Amino acid sequence: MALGKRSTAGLIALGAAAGLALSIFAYISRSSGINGTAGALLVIASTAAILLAALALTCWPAMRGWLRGTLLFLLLLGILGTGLAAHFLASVWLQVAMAVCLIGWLLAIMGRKERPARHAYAAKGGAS
Amino acid sequence: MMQMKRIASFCSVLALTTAIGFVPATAQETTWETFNGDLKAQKYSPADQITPENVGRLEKAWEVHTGDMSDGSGDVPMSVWSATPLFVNDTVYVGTPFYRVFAIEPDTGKVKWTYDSKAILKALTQPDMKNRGVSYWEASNPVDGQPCQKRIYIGTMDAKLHAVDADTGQPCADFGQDGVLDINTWNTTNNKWPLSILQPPTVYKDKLFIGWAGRDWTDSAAPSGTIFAVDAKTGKLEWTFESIPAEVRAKTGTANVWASMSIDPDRDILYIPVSSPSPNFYGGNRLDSIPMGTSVTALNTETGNVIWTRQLVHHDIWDYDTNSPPTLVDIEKDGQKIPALVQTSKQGFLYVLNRYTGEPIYPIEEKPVPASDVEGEVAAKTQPFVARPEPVVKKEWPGVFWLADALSLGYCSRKAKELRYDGQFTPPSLKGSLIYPPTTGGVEWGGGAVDPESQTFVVNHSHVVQIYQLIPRADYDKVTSGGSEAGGGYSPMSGSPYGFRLSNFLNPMGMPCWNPPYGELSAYDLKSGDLLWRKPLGAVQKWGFYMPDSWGSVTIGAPAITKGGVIFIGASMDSKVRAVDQKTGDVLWTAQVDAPAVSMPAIYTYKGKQYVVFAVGGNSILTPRVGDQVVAFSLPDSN
Repeated sequence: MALGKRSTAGLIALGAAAGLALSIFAYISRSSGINGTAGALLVIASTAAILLAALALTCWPAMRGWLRGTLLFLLLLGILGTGLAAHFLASVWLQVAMAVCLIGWLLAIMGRKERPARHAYAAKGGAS
Repeated sequence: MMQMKRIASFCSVLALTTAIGFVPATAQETTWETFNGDLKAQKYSPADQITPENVGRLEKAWEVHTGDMSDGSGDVPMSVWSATPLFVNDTVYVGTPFYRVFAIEPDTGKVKWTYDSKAILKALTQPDMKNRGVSYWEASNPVDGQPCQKRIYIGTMDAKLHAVDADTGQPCADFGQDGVLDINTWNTTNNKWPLSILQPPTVYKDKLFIGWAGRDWTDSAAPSGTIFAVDAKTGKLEWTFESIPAEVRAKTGTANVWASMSIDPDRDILYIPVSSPSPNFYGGNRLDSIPMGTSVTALNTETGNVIWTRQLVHHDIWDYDTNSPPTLVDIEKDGQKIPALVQTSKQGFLYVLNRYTGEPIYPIEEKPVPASDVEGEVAAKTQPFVARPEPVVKKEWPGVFWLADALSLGYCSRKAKELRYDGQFTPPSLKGSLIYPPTTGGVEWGGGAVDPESQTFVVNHSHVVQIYQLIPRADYDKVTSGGSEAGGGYSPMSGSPYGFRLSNFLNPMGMPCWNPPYGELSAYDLKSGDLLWRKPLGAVQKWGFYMPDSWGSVTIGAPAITKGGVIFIGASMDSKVRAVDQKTGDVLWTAQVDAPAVSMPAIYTYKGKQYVVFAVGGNSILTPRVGDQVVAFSLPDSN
């Protein structure tokens, strides 16, 4: 039971939005330990970028294959990089948010691999 | 039998509630009356409600934001807040870097009153707005209905000492002039060189013992390091003590006491940590003997007469100020009870002395040290070394850190080869000398803490490597003519043939070129002199990113020990406060605070509950992060 393109990208967007909110809160909260730091700014930027990319995948499911592949590759880099940054920023919740994004990304990849079979099935008129 | 069961049941409940961290309502009231907890500078609390078993449940009880902080971007210089809160007179008192006093309810954090000294907020003697808190005095025979029977004192950047009523915050009109004593009027050496009273006075009986801070890297001629003893009620000068011989005072100055002091109330002895003479990094114009420069010295509290003195660095040209109060403790050694003191130091040695005679309990050995290659300078031929207790610094500098070297394409190793390094006490030089430990220590002004029962001494310390470079006067004037003096780490040392540049040994990315750890916490058994444990403390933080725990953090501040077997400490640059197991050195609890808590914590028990309070203000030496937070932690209530 594979999730649709929109659902998997939506999961990435959800994790990224949570990560963005956490990063903004950490940047402005006096007791976060990283308020006002370049590191917090960096993860604000990276989670925002992940969010935009995930929204693009969600809103544009008919995206060309090569563009979708490139976006997914960049998303993986962004998620892993942000997760690593979250580790060094000692931000556990941001790491959790990136884990959610990673799950969404994996599901998106799995869905991508399943797609040709589903298209073939649909072409034979089996889709309902 | 039934009664036995009830007792057993009660004991089980008590043990359970204690074990899971709830507050038993039987704790005795304890105070924290001085900067160091008590007159002996032990930083020890007999409170035992918080233990290694329940400290993990510690939670924030209250916090106050004073509003008195500056990041230096406006008119007010950056704030540095190193105040230990006091708990006495059923009130928490704390002074701020804007020289205001806050009186706070100890259990709720509600502000009772504030006092504003309306002090000038300019960096007259220091680069930052600094304060290390307040002092408390109360009359031995208080008169009912009369004000100022209990007083709080706070000093200012321009050396005004304010006395206010501890109950109301109103000025004590009988002290000085309308409650203000101007210490700088006694500065007869050079009035253009102001004093600052950043460290609160030491209070004993009806006297205040006042040291001062100044611009000791700026000039050669400077006020001599006077201690002023004044009447606590009137501010009248009772005696003074001079650390520099009269015949040398025209050539040099300082050798002042800018840190806190300790007192042996059994013998009326005041112990003072004396700093180095000016100028700090060149001694060619002060080759005469200055026996009390960079010393620990014992004075009679009534007269100011010297009982004994021990110089810890001869002809100091490293700014190895004796910078912390000696901790007084009785040591049981070889079947005898010895009245001892432990003096920590920037140079990393722990001097354990008989506090009545000044004689070493563990040996001090004079060893040959490198000669100066700078024209006019004559470095001391030997310096005192201590092997036991094991020094807090390594024998040799920590060496080049491969990661910093690799990231800078070999900068660190190339630079290390260019600099002069001949071991500890390598003198400053024209090409630059690698100095370990440098002026930051070793151990900073907080000193250590002691558990007088187990005679365990605990101290935080740093491993920092700096470059000391002397610059001939003509070249110095050229280098600094563009206004780069402060930013470039330059100090003029006016009146000497050299200016001075101090820099941290960093690669171009700002990463330390030397091997970690950068800061640690150590515990010693004073009975044997053995090192019990040593662990990295805190974490380095750069751009918000925390480096590995094994690197530790440069530390400023000090620990406090409790009878419950828990050490509390801030001190690290990662803006965290910690509870550490006294037996093992393991970190048991941490809490995030607004900035590095470079003050030492105060620990007290009020209405049956133990509190740990930190003033959180930051220090620009560690990181630019500043704060204005006073935060108290305690165990949760049982219901």
